[in-house]
Amino acid sequence: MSELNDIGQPNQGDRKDKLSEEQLLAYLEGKLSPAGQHEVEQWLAKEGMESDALEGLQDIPAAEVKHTVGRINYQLHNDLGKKKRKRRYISDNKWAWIAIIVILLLVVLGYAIIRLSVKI
Amino acid sequence: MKVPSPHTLSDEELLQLHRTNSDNYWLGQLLQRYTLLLLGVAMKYLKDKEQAQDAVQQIFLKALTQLPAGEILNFKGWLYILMRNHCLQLLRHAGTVRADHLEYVDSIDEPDDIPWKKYSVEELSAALADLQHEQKICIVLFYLQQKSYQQIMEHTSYTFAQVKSYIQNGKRNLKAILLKKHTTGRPNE
Repeated sequence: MSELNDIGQPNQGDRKDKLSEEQLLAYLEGKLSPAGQHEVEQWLAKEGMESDALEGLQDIPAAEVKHTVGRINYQLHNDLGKKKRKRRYISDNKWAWIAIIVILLLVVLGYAIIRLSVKI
Repeated sequence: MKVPSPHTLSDEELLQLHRTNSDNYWLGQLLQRYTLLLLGVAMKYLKDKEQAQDAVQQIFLKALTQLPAGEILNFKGWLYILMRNHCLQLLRHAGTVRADHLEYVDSIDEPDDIPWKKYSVEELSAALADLQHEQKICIVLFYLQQKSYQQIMEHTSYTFAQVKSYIQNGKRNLKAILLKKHTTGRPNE
């Protein structure tokens, strides 16, 4: 009965601080051995994000989980790309300002030259 | 300067890079780490894949636009609470649950804060005997016999949710029994 002391304790040597995405997906796809399943299920016995997530993910067919995650991440990167493009437009427009100033200077200079040449 | 790979950085380091460089790329990398877990949490509450997917995207948007200026000591915990509260809010708006039944959370419990090793095997055995039958069965099979949930389900014909609930509640009750016995001066001794 010495195993009683192990309740709530990590299995020596096989417990990690984080549940990896690969491990979680393998669990959902039924690719883990009973020992591997038991290791993941240690998280289920706790109360927290992993436990809630494992429970919720049981309701999505395993084959769809990866695809859905991929779609969400793709959307996230799209959103980030839009923000980045917008920011680049604002931050890089110094060249546009320089071009505008140069054109204005040329116009003023041209106007002054024309005026001077008319007077002469 | 060499740009570090996001995979080698901790949550805190990614958050720091996001803040110092004002670059959402780092926050995106950080959020992506939790897509799967967030999807699962949303599914637990909303029970609908499309809604859960939308909820995760909304949480990402919230994180990108409303990240608190102050220090976040536990990003994962912060994200978890954000997701849970968002789901509860959606359920309230949908009228699925009564507002007074909603339990909003602003902090996360520290799991497994009981110092199990300080109890003797006899104390643990006695506490285990005080548990409800179903909880005791599941605790023994899971912790003492190292069975997986699937094996426990086959052995007991309980559902997945029942096994999870019996183990979680059994563990919580075990903790309460042990604490009670300790604070009341170990009446069994």
